[in-house]
Formats: sequence, C-alpha cells, structure tokens
Amino acid sequence: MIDAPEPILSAHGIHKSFGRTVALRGAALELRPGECVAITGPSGSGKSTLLHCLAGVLLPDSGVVTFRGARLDGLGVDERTRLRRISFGLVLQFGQLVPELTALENVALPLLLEGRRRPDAAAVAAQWLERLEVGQLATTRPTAMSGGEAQRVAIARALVTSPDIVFADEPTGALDTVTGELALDVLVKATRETEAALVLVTHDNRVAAVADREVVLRDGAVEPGPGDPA
Amino acid sequence: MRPLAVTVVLAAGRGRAALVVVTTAATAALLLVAAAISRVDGSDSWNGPAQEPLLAPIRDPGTRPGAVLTVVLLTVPVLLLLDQAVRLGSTGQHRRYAALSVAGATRRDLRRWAAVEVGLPALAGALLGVPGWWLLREVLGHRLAEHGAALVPTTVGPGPWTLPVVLVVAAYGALVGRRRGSRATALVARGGQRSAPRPWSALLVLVGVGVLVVISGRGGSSSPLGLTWLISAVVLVTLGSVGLAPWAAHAAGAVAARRAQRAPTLLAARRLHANPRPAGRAAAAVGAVGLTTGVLGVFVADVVQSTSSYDRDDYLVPASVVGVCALLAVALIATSIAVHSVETTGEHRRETAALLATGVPVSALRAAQRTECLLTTLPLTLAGSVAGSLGYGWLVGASPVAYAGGLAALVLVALVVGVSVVAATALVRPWLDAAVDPANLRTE
Ligand SMILES: Nc1ncnc2c1ncn2[C@@H]1O[C@H](COP(=O)(O)OP(=O)(O)OP(=O)(O)O)[C@@H](O)[C@H]1O
Ligand SMILES: [Mg+2]
Repeated sequence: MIDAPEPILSAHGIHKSFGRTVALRGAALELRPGECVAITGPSGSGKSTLLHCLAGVLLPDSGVVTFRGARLDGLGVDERTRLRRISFGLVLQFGQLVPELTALENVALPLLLEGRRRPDAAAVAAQWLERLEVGQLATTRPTAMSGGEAQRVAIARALVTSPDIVFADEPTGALDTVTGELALDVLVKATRETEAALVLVTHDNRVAAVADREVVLRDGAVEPGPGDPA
Repeated sequence: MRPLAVTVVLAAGRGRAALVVVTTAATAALLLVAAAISRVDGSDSWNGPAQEPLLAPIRDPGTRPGAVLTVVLLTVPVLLLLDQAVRLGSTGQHRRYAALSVAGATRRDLRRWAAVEVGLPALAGALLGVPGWWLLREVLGHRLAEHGAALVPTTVGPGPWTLPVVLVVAAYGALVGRRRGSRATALVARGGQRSAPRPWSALLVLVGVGVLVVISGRGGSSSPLGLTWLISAVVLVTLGSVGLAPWAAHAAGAVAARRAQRAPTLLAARRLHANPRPAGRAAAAVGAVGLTTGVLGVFVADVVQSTSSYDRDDYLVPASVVGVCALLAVALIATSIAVHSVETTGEHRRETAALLATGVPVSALRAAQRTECLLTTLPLTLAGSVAGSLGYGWLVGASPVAYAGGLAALVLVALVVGVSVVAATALVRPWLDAAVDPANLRTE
C-alpha cells in the first residue's frame, strides 16, 4: 500500500504459555483502521490465544500490544474491561449471550453499563437487531434461537457501541455452511458500514477469502505470507 | 478396591457429601432434642422434671408442644440447605447419568444411584446427630443449668425412640436424592427446561384463610376440635405460602426486569425470572423468620410494658432464645443462597467469562448476584415481619408502643438479612473469580 495510515492496533513479540504449553512464541500483527484481517492456521496454532491477547482479554507473558498508541498492559483491569466494552466488539463461536436475557436486553447491556437510560439503550439495540434482520427476535431468549439467529444477535451486541475493532473467533464455526456464510456476510458488511476494523479467526479458507489480508499462524508465530515484503 | 457405593458418593463430589453430612447431622440432633423435650415427663426420664432446672416453656406441659414445634421448625432452614447441597454439581450429575444411561443403566438404576449418592452421607450424618445431640445436652443442658435454666433436657437419655429419628433423617436424605435423580433422568429424557411455576398454591392459602374465618366466626379455638382446625388452617396457609414463593419470585423477577434501569438489576431480575425456585424457597424461609421476629418484637415490647419486672424473665428468656434461633436461621438461609450461587456460577462459566470478555466488569456481576438475592429476600422479610407484628398485635390487642417493638424487630431483621446476603455473596467471590477466567471461553 502506498499511503498506509497509522495502525490502530499493533502487537509485537507476543509470547504466551499455559503451564508447559507454549501457545504463542513471538506472534506479531498490525491492524489499520477499517481493515479486515483473517487469522488462519491449524488447530492449536494459537489463533484464539492471539485474539484474546489483541483484545486485552489475556495479557501476554511478554511482548507489547498497543491500541491507539496506548499499551494494553499499562491499563488497569477495569480500564481494559471498559476498553473491550466501548472500543472493541467480540464475537465468539457460540455461548456468548446471557441465556436469561432477551435478545434486545443482551444487545442493550453494554449501553446500560455505560449509563445510557433504558429506553435509549433499548431503542439503539432495536435498531441494530433490525439492521441484522433479527428484529422479530427482540423478546426471544437465546435458548429459543437457532445458531444463526444467536450469532446475528451476538454481532448486533458487538457493534452496538460502534467499536473501532471487532474481534471474531470462528464466528461461523458452530453453524452449517449456508447459515455460516450468511452470518459471515452480515458480519463483514456491518463492520464495513460502521468503518470498524475486523479481526477474524477462522480455519475456513472461504471465510479467509473475504478478508483484505490473511495472517497464517503456525506453532504460535506468524508465517511469512506471499504478500509480505521480503 | 473401593466399594461401589463409596465410589458413587465420591463421584457426586466431596463438598456435596460433606454438606449433606453436616446438614443431616444438625437435623438429627435438633429432632432428637425435640423428641427429648416431648418426653420430659415420660417413663424413660430418669429423675423427673422436678430435679432439672428447665426453662419455663419447656417445663410447663401447657407450652411444651410449642417448644417442641419451635425446635422442629428450626430444622427447616437446615433442610433448605440440604436441598441446595443436593443440587450441587447437577450439571455433572446430568452428564454422568447421560453417560451411564448410554452404558446401559435403566432409569430405575439411576434413581437408585441418586438415592445412594445422598442417602449414604445422610445416614452417616444422621448417626452423627446422636453425638451432636449429646453435645447440645452438655452445652445447652448441663452448662446452662448451672447458670439458671437448661434449654435441652438432660434427664432424657437415648432410648429405643432414638433409632427411628435417626432412620427418618437418613431416609429423608435418600428420598431427596432420589427425587433429584428422577428429575435429572427426566431432564436427560426431555433434554429441556422446567416450566415456569404456577400460582396453584394460592388455593391452599385461600382454603386455610377460609377455615380461619369460619373458626373465628364459630367462637374461637377453645375446644380440642377447634384447635385441630386452627392448626390445620395454619399448616395450609404455611404450605400454600411456601408453594407460592417460587411463583412470587418468578413474577417479581418479571416486574423488576421490566422496570430495571441498571445492568446489574436487569441481570438479577432476569435470572430470578428464569430460575425462581431456589430463590423462592429461600425467600419463603426468610419470610417465616420475618414473621417470627415480627411476632417477637410486639411480644417483647408488650411484656416489657405490661408485666412486673419480677416475672419478665419467664417470658423474655424464651423470647430471646427464639430470636437468636431466628437470626441463626437467617445465616443458614444465606448459606443456602451462597451454595446456590456457587452452583449457577459454575454452570454458567462460559457465559460468565464471555460477559467479562465483552466488557462487563466483575463488579457488575457481583452486584447482580447481590441484587438477585435481595430482590426476593428483603421484600418477603418485610412482608413477614409486618404480617407477624400486625397479626399478633391484633390478636392480643397490643398497645401502639408494642407495635414500636415490632418496627424495631423489622429494622433489625432486615439489617441482618441484608448483611447476611452481602456476606454470602462475598463468600462466593472466589468461585465468581474462577468463572470469569478466559480459559472458560474454551469450554463447551
Ligand atoms: N487456558 C488454557 N489452558 C491450557 N492450555 C491452553 C489454554 N488456552 C490455550 N491453550 C493451549 O494453547 C495452544 C493454542 O490454543 P488456541 O486455542 O489458541 O489454538 P487455536 O489455534 O485457536 O485452535 P483451534 O483452531 O482448535 O481453536 C493449544 O495447544 C491449547 O491447548
Ligand atoms: Mg480457537
């Protein structure tokens, strides 16, 4: 790229171990505003761990993650939690909605935590449900939704705060092919519309094909790709 | 090799087994005390009551049934805790049973297994109840007798009647386990959720109140038949209220969820709405405590006001005993709430971890836990307390000053309930902290 803007998120030399298992050894990644990056690689290569480190869910053992120039490890626990709520959106494979809350309440939750009034929060949440074509599920609980519907609601919740970056870990992994492709389309389209960047973990090459760029992880480190400068 | 029964019990979890042992031991000990009190004048009492400085309401044959009933009622919060303990690890039980039924176990096998899982530790606990009773006799019998009046008769020793009490407690434990087991197997079969509670128990309350109205219309409960009717009516109202509590919690959850403005309140209300039974049961028990202390507040104020100081202790000592027991009951109920909380937190590890990952602070989760407990317990405490004060005050024609005693009791018990709930949720903090671990995002 000729005039690449400053990266919004960058990670360098990320190491992370769980007991004896080394999940990441020197992984690195840079993300520009609005960019869609796919992280691929074999099972156990550290994709989820890297995503959790990038999103500030996990702190790496060593290495630095910076968001808008600020080191994540320099933030307190509560500041990082708030960052995830406001500036990041997170979509997991499944089981991320509160089972007791309705779809509308699930989507409104981050706004309520920000101190928005309930009617305001509900109105914004309802708009997002409509946008993701699940408006009719507003009063439905996740247990009564299909997998595809639940993912759309989860995407709505991730986007409701207009985050700068959406992190998605195998968002279509628990869905059948057709439903999965639809949900993926929705995710990519919606993040593009809000100009949020998207980090997409997947082991599905078709999913990776919709991304601007693909990063391949192997044994906890990024493989040099064909598009990389030598 | 370990005997199969022991393996079965251990598979259900050591913490669960330990709680079952402790609660059944306490229940058996209390029931043995109650049985001993009821036998104070009996043929197996060694020296006769005259030798023993028993507390007046226990010594006096007229009030003795009331004393027995009070001790029996003390087992209710303990049994509530037992019930909650049996629920511990129900997700694991679910999975284990599903695996066992794949391996060829019939539903009858599973139910029998569930009965053994709880029945065996319950038998151990019931047997431990005998030394527990002995301890109570030493501390609340001999020791207290030296300082005035004993609460536990020391003249009634163990006899043939001890065995049935022990066996009843053990059998109750097995029954609870079996019921839990058939619920688990039914859930395995249906693979679904339980339906929402319905307010049918209101019928019992209505019938009970109807009987009360008829009795008071016929000129009171002075005859033995009238007394029987009165007791039946009270039992009906009590059972009805207890049965109604889960529905009330369900409804309260729905109302609170609609009105909630803050995220923790919304979470708490929806959780209550979705799973109202444990909270409802606990709230019913707290309501009963509120009722007791409400009566007590007016009673004590009335006694202080109208009795000469010489006679006062005859009333005030038993009243304070009941008061202390009531507050102990609150602590037990709070523990059962905490146990329930640990259980649900464990079951929802993934969702809880996902909440933290998506930016819900742990403090909000803790606040939700607290609110969920307070949402049912506090209103029912207040309602019970008000009903107790007004009901008793009306019955004895208490003066306005006596009602002030009721008000004081209300404030006190509300404070104790609030503090207990906060303490209970603080107690389960390690489990919540474990649940929000990002590693749980990997579990199914
Ligand atoms: N909390 C944890 N405790 C123990 N080991 C862990 C933990 N998280 C990850 N690991 C290990 O770290 C390695 C990388 O795991 P990670 O989940 O990041 O892989 P992945 O690329 O996402 O795999 P998959 O495609 O199967 O999801 C694996 O060997 C895994 O077993
Ligand atoms: Mg993964």
